[in-house]
Amino acid sequence: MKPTRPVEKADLFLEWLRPQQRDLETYCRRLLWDPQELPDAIHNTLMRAVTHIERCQDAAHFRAWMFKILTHEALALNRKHARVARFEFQVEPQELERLAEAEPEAPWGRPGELSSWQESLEDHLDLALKSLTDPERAVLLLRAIGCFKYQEIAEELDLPVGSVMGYLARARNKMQAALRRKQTTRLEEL
Amino acid sequence: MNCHEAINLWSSYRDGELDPSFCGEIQNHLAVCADCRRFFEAQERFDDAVARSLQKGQATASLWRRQESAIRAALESRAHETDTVSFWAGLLWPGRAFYGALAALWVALLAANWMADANGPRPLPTPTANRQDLLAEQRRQFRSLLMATDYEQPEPATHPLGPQSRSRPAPGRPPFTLHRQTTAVATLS
Repeated sequence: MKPTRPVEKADLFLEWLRPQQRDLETYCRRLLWDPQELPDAIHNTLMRAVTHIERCQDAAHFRAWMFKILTHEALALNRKHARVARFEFQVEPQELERLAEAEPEAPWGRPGELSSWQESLEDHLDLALKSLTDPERAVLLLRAIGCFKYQEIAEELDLPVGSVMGYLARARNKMQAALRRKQTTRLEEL
Repeated sequence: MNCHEAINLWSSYRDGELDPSFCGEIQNHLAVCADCRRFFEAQERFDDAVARSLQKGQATASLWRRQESAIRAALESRAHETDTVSFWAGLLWPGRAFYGALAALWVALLAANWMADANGPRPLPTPTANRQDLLAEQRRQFRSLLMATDYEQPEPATHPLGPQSRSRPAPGRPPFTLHRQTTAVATLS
């Protein structure tokens, strides 16, 4: 970052930050176990970015750099809830195995029913996300919201590219299993 | 490529991260396998729907406004701290010229030491004839001074046993004579 005066630095930082605000907030809200911690996570991320502002040289790397800091902050906050995550939102391995087979019964398998399923998806999405482990959730969200390449995700999470591929495939399978379970429960309730 | 392999590679194929040769193989397989084609379409619809739902969201204006103020305040306070530190640093700590001169001096000392070592060890000084004569003269003077001190120094008047007490030898002990003193001096020399 070239400017030396604090006002210029702040202006440039905010100029780069504004287009990313929506994605950063959406990503953080989905990644956090407790959405109430969103302001803390955002604030900590921005303060850390300001402290190390010299490390970001240009706008091209700013987005990935901010997502990286935000991911680490959110995962640090999530560690408080790790025990709950492990015991309450676990997807059974049998459900994942069943997904390896073709699934005509799944609602997204029938195009005509996709719109009604999409409506109910919003209700269950957060719970389905909680069935993922932190790395799986981070990889899935970085791909879906951040639209990053595998290589960029690997650099942001300090993981090998192969691990990113594995986490993403597992996350998608778990999401399907969790959403299908919720859909079935909802149909039974009706 | 069989169905199992194609299904395993679906995620990377969907994201366009697969090697082009694998992509070709998958496309060839999908062209002949209706089940896999149906599976891939269903998965794509699912992934699109989930991604659309995940991307929904708005930036909370009040939150970001607060954060912008915090960023400006943090950068200004950081600049102030940096200015203060650099002022005291400039005042208390020497600059690059000082450290450069120090390094040059250290290198010069190192070179001088190395050159001295390269010339070989310096021989120890040997006693000369004059030096031997001087030592003998000093010994002679010291011996005469010691003898004169022993005979001319008066007894202290405040001795508890009186002025003659030290001249009496202790029982069973020979008297302190000049012979004993000269022997001691000879031994020393």
